[in-house]
Amino acid sequence: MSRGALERTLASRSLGIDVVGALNLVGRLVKYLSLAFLFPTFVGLGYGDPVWPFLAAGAITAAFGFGLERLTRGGEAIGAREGFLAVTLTWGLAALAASLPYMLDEEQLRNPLDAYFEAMSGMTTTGASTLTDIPALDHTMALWRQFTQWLGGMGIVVLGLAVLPRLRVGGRQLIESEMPGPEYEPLAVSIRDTARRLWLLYVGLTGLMILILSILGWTGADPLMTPYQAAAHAFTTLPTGGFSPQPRSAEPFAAASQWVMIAFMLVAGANFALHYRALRRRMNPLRDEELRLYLVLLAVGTLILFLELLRADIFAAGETAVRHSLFQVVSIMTTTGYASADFATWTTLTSLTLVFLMLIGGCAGSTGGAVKVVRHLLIGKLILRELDQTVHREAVIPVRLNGRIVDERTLRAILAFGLIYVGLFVVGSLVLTIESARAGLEVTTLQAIGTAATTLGNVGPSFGFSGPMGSFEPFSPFAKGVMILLMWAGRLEIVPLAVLLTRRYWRA
Amino acid sequence: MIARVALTRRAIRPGRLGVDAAAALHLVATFVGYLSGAFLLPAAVALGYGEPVWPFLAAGGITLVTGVAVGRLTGGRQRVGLREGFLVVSLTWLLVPAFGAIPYLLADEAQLSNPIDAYFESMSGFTATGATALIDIEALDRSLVMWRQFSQWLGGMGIVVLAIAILPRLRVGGRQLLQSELAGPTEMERLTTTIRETARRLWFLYVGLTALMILVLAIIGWSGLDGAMTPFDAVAHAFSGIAIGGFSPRNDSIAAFGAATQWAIVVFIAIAGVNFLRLYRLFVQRQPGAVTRDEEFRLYLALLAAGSGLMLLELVAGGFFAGEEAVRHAVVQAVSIMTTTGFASADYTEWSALAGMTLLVLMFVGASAGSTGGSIKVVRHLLMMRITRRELEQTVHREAVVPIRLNGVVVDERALRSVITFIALYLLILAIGAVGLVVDARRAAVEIASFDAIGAAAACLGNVGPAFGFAGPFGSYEPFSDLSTGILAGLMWLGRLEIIPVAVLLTRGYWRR
Repeated sequence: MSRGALERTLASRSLGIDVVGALNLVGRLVKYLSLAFLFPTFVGLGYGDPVWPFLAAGAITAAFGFGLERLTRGGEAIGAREGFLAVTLTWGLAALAASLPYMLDEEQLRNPLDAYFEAMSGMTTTGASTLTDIPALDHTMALWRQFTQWLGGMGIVVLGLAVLPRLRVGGRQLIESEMPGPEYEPLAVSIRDTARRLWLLYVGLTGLMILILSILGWTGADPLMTPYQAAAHAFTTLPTGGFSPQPRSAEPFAAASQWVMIAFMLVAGANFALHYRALRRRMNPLRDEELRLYLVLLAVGTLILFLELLRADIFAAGETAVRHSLFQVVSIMTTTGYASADFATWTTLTSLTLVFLMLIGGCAGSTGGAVKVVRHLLIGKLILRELDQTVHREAVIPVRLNGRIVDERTLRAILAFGLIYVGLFVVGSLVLTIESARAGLEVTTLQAIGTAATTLGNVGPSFGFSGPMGSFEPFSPFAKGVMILLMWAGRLEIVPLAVLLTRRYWRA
Repeated sequence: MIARVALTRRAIRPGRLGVDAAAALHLVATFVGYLSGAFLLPAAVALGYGEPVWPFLAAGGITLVTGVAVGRLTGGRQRVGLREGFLVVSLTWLLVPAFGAIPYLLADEAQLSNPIDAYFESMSGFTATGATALIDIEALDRSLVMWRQFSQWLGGMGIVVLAIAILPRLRVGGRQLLQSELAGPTEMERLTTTIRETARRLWFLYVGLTALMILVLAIIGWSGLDGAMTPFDAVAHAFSGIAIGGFSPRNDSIAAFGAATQWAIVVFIAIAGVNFLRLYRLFVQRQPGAVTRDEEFRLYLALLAAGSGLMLLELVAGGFFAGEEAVRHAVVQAVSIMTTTGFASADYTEWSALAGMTLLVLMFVGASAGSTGGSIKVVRHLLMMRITRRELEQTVHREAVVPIRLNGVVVDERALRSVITFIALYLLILAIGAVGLVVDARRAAVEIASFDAIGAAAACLGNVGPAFGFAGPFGSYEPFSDLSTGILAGLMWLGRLEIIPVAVLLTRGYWRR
């Protein structure tokens, strides 16, 4: 089709949005993504692994991106409305590009659906895997898997702090990002501006983690922690991803390495804008209400797990029990998904606690997923206000966050988000239960609920056979498709995807 | 005595408190006092069947004395305002079941000798839930069985008044949702007056419907259409049917009866699930449009049809039933569970996982607002869908101001917010309840799957009754530990009061001046 014809079709007057402009932006982003394949290519050359899958994938991605960009014409004038389409499509296509090397050259992921699942799990920094034999991957393929999470995490920081607030998803007040300029700028400009600043922080933190883990390896504190492992785990910690080249996740590593991971997961689950401000202006981040609640929730979760682990005689009192309960709580609540022990074999109470933590998530503006702490904070405040107003009818009580009044529209959007999230979670659990029963798969309700929560919240591991040391491979193709959708929707905070399904979005 | 009264009054009269707790207690005591009259019916039944009468007389005596004594202690002036209303409804629904449980304990009924089980049974009755701690219902005295059924009927009566007269005035449930035109613009009036006024009109409708149902069921029995339907059964099922309760004197619920009876019962519970204000306008004021043009009623019918259709599909596909039987069992179960009644014409726990899931989802739908049904209620789902759609539209069209309408009338934003708050609290309490059951079941070494625990919590919070697993429609809640039984009784209480009146009591602002 000629360029003119395509444009004419898409720009027909009946549409209210600039589809061409949105596609152009998607094309450009996908084009840049092709550069990412250079990294595994170098690694492959170094380890003597085959590099052709990455070169081929890079070429296909670049050709697709260029093609899309040439066929459309955009410039930077696309507005917030086109942003929904661009964001949604980009995440879908980026995962597709990332799945190419798997499809081309990985025995366990020959099935395109499995490959796409693995790639979506990577790009959305979920960490759920359909692989059954991770050590069978060559170094390069394993590192590519880790690297997709790092790329996804980068995208999420930009998405969470720069794109979504401008699309009125997530709400500006929640992040209190003072970094970017006024809202009236074209979307792409302000995104680029914010992205540049956060890029540095994200890369810096990753570098720091690689360094610390490598030092642990060099000094012999953790002989297993080679520089390769250090890089692989730093790539999936900062984006709160959770992939590991180790079949038993973080379990084989020494206590020191696990403590370092805990610390970095904590950092990755907090608001990056807050980190930035804390570093630049030396403000005290503990004055932030969200961060305080985040820490309190982590502490409460850890305490419950710690007591239950002692009660059930799974670990003896001491550093080990503290470490394992803290590790699991931090990993699950920040939606990372590492495991330092197989929590799927623990008790019902620990499983339920972890499912609740899966629904909480990290802070807004972090790389974590799920509902996010600040939303829970505001929903709590809203419910209290609602009860107060039930009695004191005439009282007008504004809801404040960090001393500032949050406007009513933002509050409504948060409530709606919370309910849509729960709705999707329930529907997901039901569909997974029913589908598993149909496919003759032994899946308990807890596992189905956990699987829906873990994919929608971009956490990673679930329970049963899809536990932290297990695999999602046994699920039926349809169930995997549902999980891919949940990961995608969860990462985009549902609304951009849901908006595309309304008729009014497309109307003039 | 006088000195003591004065002392009590000083302690709980306003001063430091912003709520007139004494007046609230006085009203609660009045209700409890009236309850004593209710024991006359089972006493008469006991006389007729030659069973011991004294448990009911003693229970009536205890109730009357307590009611009068507390009433005297709390003084005579009734100055109950809206704010006291929360306390009144919460306490009434907590205490009435306690007094209602006395006959179970006194009658020396082995199955209910544990006070918590008796309280559970009574709470299940007065909240019109229908969950039972009994294993063999038919072993009970007829009078005790009838008291069980009657407690649901009384509870149902209370619920209609609660849902239509009290809660909307307390800003729970929202006036707009009911569009009550029955009672005048009475927000400024004293609470008791308006309640009395509304109650008088609804009383008529409620009693009328019950009488009609007794008549229809009795005719089915007399005409020989269904030999199992005795007059006793007709009365018993009409009591728990119109109240959307679900208790049955039969161990096999309504599976003990023929097809004609089951169809008749389905029709009546479907009617009882409609907003009573609209039924009043239909039957008494002869305005059929009041019902047929109502958006909630239409969605209610659509959901009943969809639920029945889905169940039918699953029953036929699973090869469980065929023909009329399949249709009947699908419709009975879907209607009974969605309206939160809890009758069962077959043991649905033996059906497929998909059927179980469908029923679990229906438990969250509930009947119409202003009916005797429980759960979230259709109108809230309707508004929730509209709120979500508006939210998505406003994400794109930022400046658009889109009001949400119900039957063409704009619903105010505060009512909408309270709908969302209610649903959020409902889900939160469900989750806490389910977790509590799982944890406690493990402690008490009771075998329960997560699904069954969620089902039991949903069935009690939604005032449905039967759940899954051992707590299924032909089963019993008896295996649960005492603590779990207590949790479930609490869930029934919260669900019946639509949570917010109780939640309000827990805020500091409520008690302050």
